[in-house]
Amino acid sequence: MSSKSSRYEKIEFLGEGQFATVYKAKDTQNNNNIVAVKKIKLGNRAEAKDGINRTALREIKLLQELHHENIIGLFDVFGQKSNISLVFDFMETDLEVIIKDTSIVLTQPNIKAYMIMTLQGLEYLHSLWILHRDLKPNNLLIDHSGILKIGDFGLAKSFGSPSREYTHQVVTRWYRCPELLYGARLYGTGVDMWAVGCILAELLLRVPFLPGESDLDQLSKIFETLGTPTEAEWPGMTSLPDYINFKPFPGVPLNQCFSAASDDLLQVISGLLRYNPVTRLSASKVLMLPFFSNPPAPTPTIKLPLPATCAASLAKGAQQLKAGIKRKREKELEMGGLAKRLVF
Amino acid sequence: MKPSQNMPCWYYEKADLKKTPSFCDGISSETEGRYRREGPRFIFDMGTRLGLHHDTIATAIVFFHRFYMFHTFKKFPRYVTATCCLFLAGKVEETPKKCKDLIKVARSLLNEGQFAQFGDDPKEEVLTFEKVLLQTIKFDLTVEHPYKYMLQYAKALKGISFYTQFQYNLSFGERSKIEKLVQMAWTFINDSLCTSLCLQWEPQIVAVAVMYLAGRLCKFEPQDWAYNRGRWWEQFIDDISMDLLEDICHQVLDQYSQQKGNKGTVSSKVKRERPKTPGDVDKSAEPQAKSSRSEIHKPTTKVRVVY
Repeated sequence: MSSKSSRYEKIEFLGEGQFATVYKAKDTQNNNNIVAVKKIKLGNRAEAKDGINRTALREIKLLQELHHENIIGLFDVFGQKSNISLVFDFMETDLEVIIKDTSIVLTQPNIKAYMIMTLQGLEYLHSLWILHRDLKPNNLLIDHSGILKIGDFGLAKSFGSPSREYTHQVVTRWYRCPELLYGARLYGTGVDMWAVGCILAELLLRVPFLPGESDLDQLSKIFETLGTPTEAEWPGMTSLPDYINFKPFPGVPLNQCFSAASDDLLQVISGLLRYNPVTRLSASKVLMLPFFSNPPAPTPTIKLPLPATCAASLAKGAQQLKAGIKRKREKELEMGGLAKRLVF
Repeated sequence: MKPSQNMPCWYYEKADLKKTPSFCDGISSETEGRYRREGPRFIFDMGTRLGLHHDTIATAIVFFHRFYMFHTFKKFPRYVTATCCLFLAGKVEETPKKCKDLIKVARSLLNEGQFAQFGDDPKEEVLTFEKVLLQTIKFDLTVEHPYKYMLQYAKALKGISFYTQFQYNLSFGERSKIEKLVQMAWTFINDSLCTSLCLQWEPQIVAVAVMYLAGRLCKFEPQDWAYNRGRWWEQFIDDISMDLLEDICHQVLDQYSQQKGNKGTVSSKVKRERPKTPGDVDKSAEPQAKSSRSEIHKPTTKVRVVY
């Protein structure tokens, strides 16, 4: 198995998390394709008293079953003496970097493209009864050709872009839905849909939409902005384990929160940020809203903006990359079927 | 390159199953067959003792069989491998058990000589094994078992029986017969795990075969209500031949005769308690059911499974 670890030649260190270290590497047995190698830490003997990390096993098991253009691809898994490594698609950047990069203009067609890709990935996950449960802009990874892929399944942070700073916002509460904040034990796809609503809002505002400082503050931020829900609006709310009564806020009308947004876009936001998880729209339902079929059309992925740092490194390797894409095409043809492309 | 293309194929032809690493290492096919029964039974015993789910137990056993397609029993003692397989399966199936608890149970089930396989530091031994195991099974952690398919097929048949009941005035006893069939088939699935069937056929096919076997033994044939004038299993799986079904049934039944011959070699400490389903099978009928038919050769083309 040592041959496997020499197959991936380390290029640079990308980041370190609680459970793993991530490197950028090239696959010497596959046209020097660039990949990300996530090395799972086994820790010292005391930590590793029950062998291979369960979250790592879960991620391996889950990702081996998932094949979708908008879900991060797990290419390979290999083991060395004391640890195991996961080999992923290399992703240039993530949505958090793009949102924070003030030199990038996010037009409505750009936002539409990001939303479609996120929702299609999520629709696929939910159709397989998988909840992501940790959607946030820095888990929405973006490759060199602008394609967005949902990443980080089951493991906390550490995997992603080289330019990202590691802050305290690890398991960030800003994207957490009210039923979770109220301690709901039974929840469903609605938790991911709420997060998508917050992400969409952030794409428009360029700052986090509901940046709570504590779980309690998170709830009051939500209610101040969207209005305090009533039992009639959200049946079952008052019987949730951690329910507390809030002062009734009237809320701010959405068209004032997002003054530049069109009506069809506001319809998407309000569908995603419904209090009652039962009536909150599913990924499939959201994709059928008029916003996604109305003009302007979404930006083709290849024309989506990339941060300056990525653009520079891409230009440097442009020639190589072009050849790489061509080889990939040929490879796909050899395999007897092209991967499904997004149709815009 | 899609990840699925890296996934190994775990189904072997019979000829390949004879030339295992253990066989090439000088272990006879009979001895290997016995090891491939003892390991899984030990996993059943441990799993039952620990209250583990049948899927966890079955996953551990499939790992065990796959492992010995790459390694020999001489180098990797079967009880250590078995313990490690259950340890990993526990984590994979979200029913984790602590390594030290597994070892405690293993110690209580094995005699001193057998437990000596674990060496001076049993826990360290199992943890070291885990890495070898994971690499050997190529990190392929999602394993399906015949149980769920058998239940699914039985449910479908029950639905048909309910319908035909009124159409043809069948007695209500027909439905309880299906329940009896399910219980018997369940036990046969447990027994099939002590053979190399999981290295030969997809779980859907094994499910149909054990239901067919159970049907024959309780003299109850669902084909009375033929589906589209075909065999009842044709609604679940395409192109499955009678010869293939009988071959699988014989492999399940063959172990009962072998079991008798080898009884003395198995430790008395390892009890043969397998998880029972309500209404365990009347074992007396089984050895007689074994026929002297010459071995049926598997068709060269794989059976197509309809999902």
